[in-house]
Amino acid sequence: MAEIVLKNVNKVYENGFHAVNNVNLTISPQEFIIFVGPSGCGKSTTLRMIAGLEEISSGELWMGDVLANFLEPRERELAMVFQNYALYPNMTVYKNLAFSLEIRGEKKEEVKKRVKAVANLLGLEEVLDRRPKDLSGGQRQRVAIGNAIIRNPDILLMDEPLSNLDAKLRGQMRVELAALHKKLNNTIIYVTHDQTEAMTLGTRIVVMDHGEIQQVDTPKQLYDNPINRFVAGFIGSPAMNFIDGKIRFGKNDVYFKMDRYNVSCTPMIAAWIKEAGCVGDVTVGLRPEGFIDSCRKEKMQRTDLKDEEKITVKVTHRELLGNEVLLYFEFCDKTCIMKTTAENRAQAGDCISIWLDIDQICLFEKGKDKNLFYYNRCK
Amino acid sequence: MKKLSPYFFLIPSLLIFSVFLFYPFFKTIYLSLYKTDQMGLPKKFVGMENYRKLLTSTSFYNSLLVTLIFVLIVVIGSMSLGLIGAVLCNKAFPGIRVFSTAYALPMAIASSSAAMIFKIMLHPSVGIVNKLLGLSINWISDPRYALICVAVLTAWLNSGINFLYFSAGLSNIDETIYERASVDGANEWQKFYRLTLPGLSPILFYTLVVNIIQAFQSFGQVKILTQGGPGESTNLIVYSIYRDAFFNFKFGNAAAQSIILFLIIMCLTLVMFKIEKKGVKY
Amino acid sequence: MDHTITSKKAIYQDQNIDIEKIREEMYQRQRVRKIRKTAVRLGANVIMVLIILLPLLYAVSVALMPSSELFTTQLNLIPKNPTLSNFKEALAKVPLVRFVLNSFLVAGVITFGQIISCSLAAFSFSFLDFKGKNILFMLVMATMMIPGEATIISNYLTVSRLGWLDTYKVLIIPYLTSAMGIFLFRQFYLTFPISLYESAKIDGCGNLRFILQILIPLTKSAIGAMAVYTFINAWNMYMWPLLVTGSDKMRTVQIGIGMLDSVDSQSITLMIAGVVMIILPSISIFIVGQKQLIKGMFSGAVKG
Repeated sequence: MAEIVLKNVNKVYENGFHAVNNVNLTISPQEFIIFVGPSGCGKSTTLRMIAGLEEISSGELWMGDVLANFLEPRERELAMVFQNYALYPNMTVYKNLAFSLEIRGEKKEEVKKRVKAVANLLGLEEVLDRRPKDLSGGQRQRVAIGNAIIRNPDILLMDEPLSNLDAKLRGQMRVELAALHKKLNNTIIYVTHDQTEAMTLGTRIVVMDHGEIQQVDTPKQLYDNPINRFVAGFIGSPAMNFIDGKIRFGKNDVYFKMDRYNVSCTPMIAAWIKEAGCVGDVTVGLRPEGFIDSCRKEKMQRTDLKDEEKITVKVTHRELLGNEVLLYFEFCDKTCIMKTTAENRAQAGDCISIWLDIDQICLFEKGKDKNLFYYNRCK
Repeated sequence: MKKLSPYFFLIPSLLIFSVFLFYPFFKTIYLSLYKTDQMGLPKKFVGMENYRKLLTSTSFYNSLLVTLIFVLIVVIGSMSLGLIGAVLCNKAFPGIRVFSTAYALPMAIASSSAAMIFKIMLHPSVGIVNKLLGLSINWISDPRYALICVAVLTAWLNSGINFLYFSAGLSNIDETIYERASVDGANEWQKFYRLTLPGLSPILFYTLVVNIIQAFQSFGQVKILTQGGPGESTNLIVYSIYRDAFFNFKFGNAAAQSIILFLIIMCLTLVMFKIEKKGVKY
Repeated sequence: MDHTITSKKAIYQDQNIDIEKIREEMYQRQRVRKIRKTAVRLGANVIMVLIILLPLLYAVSVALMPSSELFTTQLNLIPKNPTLSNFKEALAKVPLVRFVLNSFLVAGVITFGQIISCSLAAFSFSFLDFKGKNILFMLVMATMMIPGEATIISNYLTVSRLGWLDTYKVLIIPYLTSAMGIFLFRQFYLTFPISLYESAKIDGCGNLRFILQILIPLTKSAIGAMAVYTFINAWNMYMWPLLVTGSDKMRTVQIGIGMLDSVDSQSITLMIAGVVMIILPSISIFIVGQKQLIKGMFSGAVKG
């Protein structure tokens, strides 16, 4: 098995559109890596360049010791699952699965054995004689995956494979994909626009935007420590709250001025702010669970949250998610969302007291993208 | 009035169909059962006599056979030309517009004009064909070649519309299955043979039906190039109908041939659609 | 795989000197490969185009040749002394202009008439509900199965008895509608939601007004396709005009051009010049209308 290295890879289309900008990345063997980003961010293009379906405008693509820029797709020994599945409409499921083996001149017996094994693995035995148009979405999806894994490829590319399924099936297939990866142990490069999918599946996630890699990290790191405002806003659902405020320096403390409230910083954050040399207008990024109401305060025994730091807000909307609840409220001229336990009974119109979990915040200079605490948290 | 208005919109079309299609069609059937005079007036009811005569005449069987061979050559030729053109123009390359226009161009040309051009091309002494091939064959006057010449000409004429059909068919094939095939490891030939041809099969089938019907009806090129000769080697059914009706004034006999032609075409069409329902499924 | 291209990464890292060279070589090879691919495709197309266009190019070339040049034993693809005199003489010898005008008139009226009659019928078949609609539609579609030859004799007898022979109306009237046209338009109309018609009705729009102001503007591409197709077919009509026209006044080009044929063999170049002249209008219309034709004919109408 080989590692894949992208070195200064660019894609510029003939019409001048710069789809992928200077991508550098090393994908180690057996990794389940995910490319995520909004549509048009260049993630699919990057995948297609790895597959050899799209020419690399400049830069280098290494597969193991081989410079692979100009290898034909079939010379790259990889397999791919396409977004629309790309099943051959004129062939039965059996023929679809057997296709890549047959054109390689595998023996009939061997083909049969392998197709059986894959059909067994994916639960397709019953539909081997059907044509793609007679299959359900989930079955088509499985056939597409079967097509890809039947050759036991070292590298498996997946281009939004679950995007055509309904929510329930998607969840189910996610679990199956994860199990499949454990079993097959090949490198999987997976493209999706759905950050939930990325967070639940990947061991490492590449977040892209405007053709550039923003951040490459584990799901937890991306969530806790996004490198910039784009990543902070893109990862996590509901999205991170961005609250405008001002930094004020007191005699021996640092606090944020937000609306009519002064929220004082913990010593660690105060130190980081001083280190960053940050003054004046800032934007504070806080996850929905970074707002703590009295229910959670008690539960987590957060005695550090003092009464004088408390903020009173008016709930505008309540959304129940089961045992958790989302509360919408206006704060600093913005709609913020907090996530708390369903024990909080606040309805729209009620006023509640909340605290800001200052240790969790990300900090951005006003109008700038960089998360000022990124390097502090990296340590 | 309101109830009648839907019919009002159909009047022009239905009127013309009735007068120039349905009426003459039944009249042809009627005529085919009669002996007719020089003016085409039915004189004597003879029942199936015209058909019986036809089916025992070697000349008619010759016509059928010649037509069959002709249709076979034309269909294979025109469909191959159209398919080659469509495949060559399947991917963008510099000048594609010019090439695709050229491939479709024969559909704009009349059979009579084309026949005149071919007449000169096949001319035994000054024709370009003999000059290019270094031969001195009298193509049109040689019963061995005359039919092939008319057939090639017809194949050329019909290839233009086939090119359009196949191009449309190719553009209907999902591009990503080719991408998957290249990742799967297929080479160009395997892609063509295992994806393109099966993917074209619905339109291929439709084109086949249209081509057969069209080939059966070729007339102008025979009239100008060979007049059914030499001998009767290019006496296609349609030409035979024309000759019997308007030269020999055997209208009843010609009408019977028309009906047989109609039956052949109808049967072929029905059989093929039956096959299609069984064969091409997806 | 070529081993100079697939150099080891180790080398790449250790001996920095070679990188540029390898990379340059790699791109060079790729460039060659690309050019070769394009060249093969282009070459195949050029050969195919020459085969397809040979008759037409040859016709143009012969039409420009002095007739003395045609009669040699040498290969004479391109005229050495191109001349336009063949065209002049052809025009002098037969009333080609009259034939062309006849053809334009006949093909033009047929095209116009078919568009009107077919869109009216298709409108009725797709937007209105009436008794016997399906049967009538089947009947119309069934006409496509009847070959023209099965009716041409009776039609000839009919029109000759009516005394219509050798007139414009006999050339035009039988072709004023077509099942294919009705089918094509109906196919197009069916893509519009019925609510389009219903809302127009509510706004107080009559049927004719709906056709003229809403349907026709919306189906420009189908009409364009239909116009090109019908015009070319009408222009190229052969058997019917051959039977029903006799005088020079009424002949259409396809029949008239026959007058240049079968004269002494010296006038081959004349005849071809005539052929080139009458092909030009249909080819020009085809080239101009090709895009429309394809767009209209294949957007839904023909799908297997």
